Amino acid sequence: MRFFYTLPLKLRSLLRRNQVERDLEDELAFYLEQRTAHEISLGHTPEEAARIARRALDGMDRQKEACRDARGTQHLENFFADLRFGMRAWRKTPGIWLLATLTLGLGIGANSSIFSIVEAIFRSPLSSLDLTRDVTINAVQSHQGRERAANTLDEYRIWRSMPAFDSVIAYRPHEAVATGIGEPERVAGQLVSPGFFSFLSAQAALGAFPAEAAHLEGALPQIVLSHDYRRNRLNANPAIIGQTLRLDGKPYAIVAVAERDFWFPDTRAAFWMPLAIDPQAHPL
Amino acid sequence: MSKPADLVQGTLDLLLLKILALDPLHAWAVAQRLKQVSGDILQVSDGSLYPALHKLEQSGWVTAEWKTTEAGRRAKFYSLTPHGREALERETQNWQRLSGAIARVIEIQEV
Repeated sequence: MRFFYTLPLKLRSLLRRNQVERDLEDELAFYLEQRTAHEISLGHTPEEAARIARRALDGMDRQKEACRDARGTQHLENFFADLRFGMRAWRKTPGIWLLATLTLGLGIGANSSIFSIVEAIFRSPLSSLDLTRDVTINAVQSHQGRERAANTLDEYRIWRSMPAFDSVIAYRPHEAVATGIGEPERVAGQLVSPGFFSFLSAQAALGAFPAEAAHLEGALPQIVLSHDYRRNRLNANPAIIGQTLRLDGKPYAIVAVAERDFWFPDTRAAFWMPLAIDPQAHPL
Repeated sequence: MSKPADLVQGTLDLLLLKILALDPLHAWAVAQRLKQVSGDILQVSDGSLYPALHKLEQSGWVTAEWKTTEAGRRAKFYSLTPHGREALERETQNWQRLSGAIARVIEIQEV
């Protein structure tokens, strides 16, 4: 590649600048000699000849400048000249330099703290997802001129069996009234399919996420609580695994608490429960 | 900086590459050779010669070396690199295409 060929030349122009300048001087001096001798041979006096030679180069300084431009390193040289100028100016007025640095530092610092706060508030559960490969599939039904999602378990089963997808998870909002802890309260959660937690790379802070068998019809009802729900409603009780939470009057065994950063599909989800799947109709 | 007004843009590079393809030369000799070969028609102003040569050198098309002339004086001799030979070939073809096209235009017979 020509780049690797010309790189040493550029470096030389930059780092051995004095040598390069001397070479240029020598080269032009050689020209002046030759041209002067040539003009003398044409019958000019030595003074005249020297003048003609110098004029032919459009003046030594302009000539040198044109040759420096041809080196293509002028921008870098100018940059370094600016840098040197900046250093000199700084030494002369260190107060302004200090002020500028402090202003920049405070500005950058304030910016990054705000970003950290915003990031913490709107933290993304999707960092574990590969946005180039993961997709949302929706079957859509037209209903009175409006389209609405209408995914069924049958469709989930079909999508699962398609080789186009490595894995498919399903989830469905589910609301229930929790009783037995203080006032009865309506809480929002999700019914989730097998593989839900591992797909989202979720970690359990306590306990273990439900096994596949928990999705079978007739399995003992289990529930996974969100970190926030446990902390706010259950007083962060560490011995919570194995206890029972009553939803709509039915007992659910608490098998796990999700880690603090996990939420899906939205931050309102207080719990996740295994979506019951008929093993006959929907082999796992 | 003076530009050779009577040379079509870009042809100075072609001429310099061609002259250097024959012989490594110092800049002064390049100018002399160009004048001589072209029958005094093509005269590169000496002012535009050096920047042009330095540009060719920085482009990697020619390389320079300090050598002693026959008269025993140190001078900077320019010679073509392999990249320069490729460039010369390319530029020659371009020039032939262009000059051929111009020739065809000006040879149109009026009717």
